[in-house]
Amino acid sequence: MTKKKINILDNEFVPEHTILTEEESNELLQKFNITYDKLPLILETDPVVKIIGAKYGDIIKIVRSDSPAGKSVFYRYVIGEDAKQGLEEDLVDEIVEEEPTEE
Amino acid sequence: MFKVPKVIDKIQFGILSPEDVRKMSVLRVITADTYDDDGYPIEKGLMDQRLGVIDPGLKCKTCGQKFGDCPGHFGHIELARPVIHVGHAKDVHKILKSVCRDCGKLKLDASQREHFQEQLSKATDRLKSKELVVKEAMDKAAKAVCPWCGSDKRTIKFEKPYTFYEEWGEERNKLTPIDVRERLEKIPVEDYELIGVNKDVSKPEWMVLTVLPVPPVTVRPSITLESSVRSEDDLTHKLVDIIRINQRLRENIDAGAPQLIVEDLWELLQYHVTTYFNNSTSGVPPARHRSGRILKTISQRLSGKEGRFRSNLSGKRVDFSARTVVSPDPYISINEVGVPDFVASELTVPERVTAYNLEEMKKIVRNGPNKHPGANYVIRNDGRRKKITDTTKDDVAEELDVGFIVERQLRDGDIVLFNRQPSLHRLSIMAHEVRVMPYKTFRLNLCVCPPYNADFDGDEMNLHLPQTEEARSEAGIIMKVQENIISPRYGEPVIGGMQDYISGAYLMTRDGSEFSAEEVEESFYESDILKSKVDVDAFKDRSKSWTGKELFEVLLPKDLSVEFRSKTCRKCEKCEFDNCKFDNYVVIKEGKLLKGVIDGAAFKARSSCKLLDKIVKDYGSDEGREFLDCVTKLIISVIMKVGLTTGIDDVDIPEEGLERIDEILENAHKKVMENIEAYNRGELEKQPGQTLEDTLENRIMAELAKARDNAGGVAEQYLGMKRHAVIMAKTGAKGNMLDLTQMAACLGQMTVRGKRLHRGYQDRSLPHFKRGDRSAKARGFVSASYRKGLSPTEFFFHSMGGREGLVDTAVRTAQSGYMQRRLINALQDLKVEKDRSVRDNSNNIIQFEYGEDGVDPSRSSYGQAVDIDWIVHKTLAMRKS
Repeated sequence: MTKKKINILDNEFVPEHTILTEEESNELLQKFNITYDKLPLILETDPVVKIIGAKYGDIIKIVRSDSPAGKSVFYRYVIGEDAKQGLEEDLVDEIVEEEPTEE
Repeated sequence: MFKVPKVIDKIQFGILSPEDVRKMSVLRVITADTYDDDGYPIEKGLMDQRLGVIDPGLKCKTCGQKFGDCPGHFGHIELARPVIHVGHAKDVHKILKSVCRDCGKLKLDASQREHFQEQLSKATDRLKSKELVVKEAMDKAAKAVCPWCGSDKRTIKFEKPYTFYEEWGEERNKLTPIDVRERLEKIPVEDYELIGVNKDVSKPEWMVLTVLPVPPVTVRPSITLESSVRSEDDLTHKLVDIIRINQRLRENIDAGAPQLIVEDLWELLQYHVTTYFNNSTSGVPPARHRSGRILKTISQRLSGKEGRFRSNLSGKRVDFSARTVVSPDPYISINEVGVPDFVASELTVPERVTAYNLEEMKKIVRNGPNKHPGANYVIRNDGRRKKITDTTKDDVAEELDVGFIVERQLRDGDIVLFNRQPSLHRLSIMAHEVRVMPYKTFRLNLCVCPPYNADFDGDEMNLHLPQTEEARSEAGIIMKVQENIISPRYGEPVIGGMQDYISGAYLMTRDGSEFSAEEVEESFYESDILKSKVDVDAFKDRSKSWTGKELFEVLLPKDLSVEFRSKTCRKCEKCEFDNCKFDNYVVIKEGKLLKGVIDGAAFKARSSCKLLDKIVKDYGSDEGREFLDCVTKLIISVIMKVGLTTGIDDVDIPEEGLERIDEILENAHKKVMENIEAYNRGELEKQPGQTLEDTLENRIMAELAKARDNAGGVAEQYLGMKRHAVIMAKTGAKGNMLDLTQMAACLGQMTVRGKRLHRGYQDRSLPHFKRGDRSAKARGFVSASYRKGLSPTEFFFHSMGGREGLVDTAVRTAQSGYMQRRLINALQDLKVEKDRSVRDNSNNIIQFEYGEDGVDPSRSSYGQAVDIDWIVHKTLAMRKS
């Protein structure tokens, strides 16, 4: 079977993603009075991120139209695959250790 | 006020060095015994008097302080041979793997080192943590051959819990703790950073113990039993073992005993030290007491539900609290709690004497501790505390002056916190006003049961008495029951009518219910609304009779206008609104109940009720409380006059109806058999995506469900509003029509895991049936009603279905409890900031706008920011008038 190319951006469940310009990024950080490392994260290897071509260090704006508020804006900071590992492994460790103490 | 003795500026964690251990030690413990035959502590033993005092009256030999003041002092044990600290074994293994066995350097070349050091310097906690850089560096080093001295690669194997081997080719060599320590010692300080060791406070070789600290006796006090036999703490027992083995090991080494014996003893020492730290280490048999009880050692003291953290630090036992059984009292306000006089005279509030309350305080003190609104203690201006007794009370009262503090007993009107476990949401603790009462239970208004999830089958609740003026007023303003009528979770009332209040309201306000002037007068009097709400002139005409609607509207705000469908609404195809011929459309205009019957839809707790929430939201919580207090009392009075009862005749159905039900069931049985025969003949058509068996099962299930519904429908036709059980079901007071049809007509299909019952015996559910019988009766269809009674097989099937329900609820509560705990731990620090973003304690953003829409659910109306319909309705009403 030949592989069909599907543009996931066309899917109605995929919200609108845009890369912020440097100017907009600074504005955002200023508005919330934070540094970039306080933002929610998204992986560089995330399918949508790959398609829109965002790179490590970019900030992505996500506009969801299916939220209870009607329209909601979210921002995420793009990180590399290497930064992810630690986050996940730490979590796994914790859960495994805590489970048996419960009950 | 309270003086802070010491302020903690920071906490630094590190590993204790042998020097530190010796420095903080007041004595080297060498004797394994505790007390001699005279019961005197042995010098240099584990109970040496220099280690602190545990007997009242004695003085500490180190610091000279008394029992209670002396914090205790550490001793130490010099280990004859080093042992691995189990808590660090994993880290030791990681380090051993990544350093060179000969030169001790981390097996990374200069450029690699530089790379990782740079990464470390810019590592931030969230995007790339230091731990992660260290892990990467060590993983890389573990795979490498030493770039510095090029010594051959050997793998280090770690055998839990504390044994290390070195392997190369076919050969294998055990590393003793001495070897391990030597290797760790060789690691240069420059490498510490890259193996995750803070060079200011730790050295890797300290993970191998050469000296063991002996905790003060205050940490492991021995207890004297009644028979004056001393019983030592578990830790002391363990330390005795360690010292004894240590001693034997040393003697054997000194005597030049064979290698084998020394190694055995060494291993034994390692075992004892390991279990001393953690007696539930996997792979190590737990150390036991002589009686066979497993010893509780250091780790067990700290971890788990009964550990120091969860049981002593996160949760504590407190003073100024009380706990007893709760029972109902419909005649107190929802804001109140009935407190037994017994409890009230034990709990005290400190109250400062001023020029304004001096006389009052004197009176209270004169009552003494045994007459109710009395006082138990007085704190004089010089800070001395004096107990008030019956003999001293008059003298103390005389002496009382401005500035004194009187610890007076709890009295009516005091604000207390009331709580029922499990405290799942914030409404599980609310502030109540005290009402001191006789007998020994806490009394609770029935409307407040839903938020606490309380009933009166033996539930106990806790009461806490805030001790400062600030705390009391804060509790009164934000935690008062009346401030919590509307749930902060979804903006609908959680406090409101239930059960009899609902059916009572229906009985009172339905068309045709009338009350004589005497009855009304009595009811109003009983419910304390005679004075405040009703004009006495209304009773001048003694012959006038009142309708129930007139009774009810007395309690409504004078300018309230609402319209809604009542719970009893039959959902006709075309709604006639205010012309509803069943009186099910409620019309309230300017405080007058013009049409409609009041039931669950108006003021039932935990339902989107249409009347109570309007009163609370538009007229305030005071009005809401008053409405609830009055309406409940009024309804109780009325329901006692009208009467409400239910019995088995409420589900009786005339012969003709029973015949119709039987016929429906009979037909269903036939259809089921037809399906089975079709299946047996192979004529059954397969449903897409299902096996033939599934198709058959689904068809039968559908057929039987339809039959049950139809039978229920027939029963419902006979179950009219004259039957009180039906009133309860239809008004939303208790139960529903399905329950009633199960009682009157047919129970329906019993299931386990969503399937008809089929397990138990080979190819059949019970030996009463043939193997492979797929008929309705053989697979758990109960065609009887509760009224008729179940046959033995039906009864058994019914209990099978019932058992699944029980197991499910048990499992569900356990699982959701654990999930809730995890969620609370994960979310407890999140906070909505001024800019409405949600952030955690390190200022990371979780949501940019709270809940994505910035709506505070506690001020919302059923989750929506504004109730447009209601605003439009009110505006229109305003324009009309």
